This record gives sequence, C-alpha cells and structure tokens, in this order.
Amino acid sequence: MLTLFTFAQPVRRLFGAVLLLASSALLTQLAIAESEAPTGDNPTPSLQAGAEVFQNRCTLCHGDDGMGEGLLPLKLKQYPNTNLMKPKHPQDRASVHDIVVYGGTRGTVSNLMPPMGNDLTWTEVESVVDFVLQLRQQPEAARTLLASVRGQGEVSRKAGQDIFTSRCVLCHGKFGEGDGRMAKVIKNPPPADLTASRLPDDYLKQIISKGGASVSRSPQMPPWGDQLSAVEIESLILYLKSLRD
Amino acid sequence: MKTYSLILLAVVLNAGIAQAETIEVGQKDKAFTTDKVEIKVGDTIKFTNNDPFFHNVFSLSDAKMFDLGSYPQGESKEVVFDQPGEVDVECAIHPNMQLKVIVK
Repeated sequence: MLTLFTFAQPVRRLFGAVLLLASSALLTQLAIAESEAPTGDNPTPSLQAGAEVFQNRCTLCHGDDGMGEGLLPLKLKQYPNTNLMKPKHPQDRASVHDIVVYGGTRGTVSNLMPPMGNDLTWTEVESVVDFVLQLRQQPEAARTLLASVRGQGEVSRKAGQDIFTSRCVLCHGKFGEGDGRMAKVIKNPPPADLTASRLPDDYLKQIISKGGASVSRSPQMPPWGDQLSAVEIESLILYLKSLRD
Repeated sequence: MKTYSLILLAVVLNAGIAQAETIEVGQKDKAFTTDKVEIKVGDTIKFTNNDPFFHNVFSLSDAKMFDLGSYPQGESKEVVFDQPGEVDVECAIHPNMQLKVIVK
C-alpha cells in the first residue's frame, strides 16, 4: 500500500500539472473572444477600414508597408521577422484570420504577436484580414490605400532620433561621429562626422533623399527618398542638427 | 610521361575552374530570396534588386568583408567568396534583411 502510494503521488502530481497547463491554455483560448457580426450601422467589412486598422494597430511591428520595418523590429535586435511578404507566413484567409484573432497563443506564430480578438470589432477583424491578403496579392494597390489613410505626422526630434538609431548609426555611429560598423569597409571617403557638419537644411534634405552621388559626394550614402517621408526627413534633420558640436 | 603530366595538370586546372559557380540571390519585398545559402570557396553570388527601390549589400564578417554600395531596381552586383567561413550579409538600407552564406 505504501509502495502504491509513493508511486501514485508523483503520478498524481504530474497529472495535476498537465491538467493545470491544459486548462490554462484552454482558458487563454476561451478568454480571447471573437466578436460576432454586428447588426447595427455599417457592419460591412472593407479594404478602406482594413487599411485604417492596419495603420493604427499593425505598423508598429509590420512597418508602413507590411514589409517588417516597424519601430519594434528595427530597434530590438533578434526580434522575429515581421515581414508579411515572406512566403513562410500563412497565406490562406482562415489562417490569417486566426492569427489576427488569437495572435501567438496557438503557437502558429511568435507569441510576440498579440491576440487582437478582444480589441477589434467583427468588422475590423474581417477588414484587416482582407487587407493583409490584399497586401500580398496586390501590394501596390494596398500600399496606395495605406498611404491615403496615413496621417502626415509631425516633425519631431524624437522621431528623427528613432530614424537615426535604426537607419543611420550603421555608418555614422551612435553619436554621429562617423564611426559606425560600416566604417570598417567604407574608407574613401569614410562616413561623415555629423557632429562637425554645418551643412544647411536644403543641402541635407538633398543628400538624404537623393543620396551622396546626387551632390557629388560619397556614393556609399544611399538615397532615402523612397524609404522616408518628407516629415520623417525633416525630423531627421532636426535630430542631426542637435548632434552638432 | 611528360605529356601525360601536362594533360593531367590541364584536366585538374580545368576542373578547378569549372567548379566555381555563380549563385543568384534576389532582393524582393525587403528580403533576400533565401535566408541561407551554402557555396564553395571561389563561388560568386550575384545579388539582383527586384524591388522598386534601392538596396545595398554588405558584410562585416571576418570571412568576407565588403560593401557593394546601393543600386536600383533591375541592377545586379556580384561578390566572390574567396575564404571558407560563415558570412552574414546585410542591407544598409533595410536593417531586417539578413542572409547567411556558408562558404565551404
């Protein structure tokens, strides 16, 4: 009897732990409620509504064009790849729908993907799912729509700093002194020491948007005009000037 | 005997030249078209920009340090990998683009 008891005790504990884990996972799933189709005004899903949801809820990680250049992955190294255009991401509507509603709780994608089922209405979920599919099937049309719902934003030093730390430190270094990682291979000329720069705003705008070659300087300086908006470039210039000696 | 040696040398050299290959890797949707590629010492990788905006290709790995600069849609740049080792290839414009090249 004693032997049976000592054998049964760990088994019971193990069973209890498994049951606890299973019920915890079940509760997590149940806690994420999928909204039901509304009966009120304007319940019809639309790509326009989907683009608005995407702009407000998804760009932080997936970026302004869905190609993974959100602020979080740009700032946090080792962040999971959030580029929605990668073929390894689920492509069918049902899978995309589940990911939007349940996020990473079902283990199909990273657990850093938040479950949005409790935060979005039925119309918003259906709309953003359609929009993600549109991004993959007709990327140009989807991005045009996305650009149309995006606010202009405001010029700010903070926004400029975010751009600098994610895009410029590679060559110009953390403090803009021209000593970034790429200084190892860019030698003639080396990356510019931005702390010593006194270039006027218009010139900076030109070199940032059209690249170094456009002003007969280093062709290693890429053109950023198709990556950054006018407001973002102005924010960056504001930040660059704050680095000056 | 001398003739046979010369023929053998020519065959060996020819085989060595023939083994070097050019592998194509695209740049599409702000990603390399593959995450990892295995090549041999002496092989070339040709990077083609298939996006409607500029890309760059560089590496700061000890086994191969290079910067191919920035180039627009439709253009390609090549680099020869002349030492064995692991090479992490990146894009200076799109920080999330990563490719690991294993040179054997």
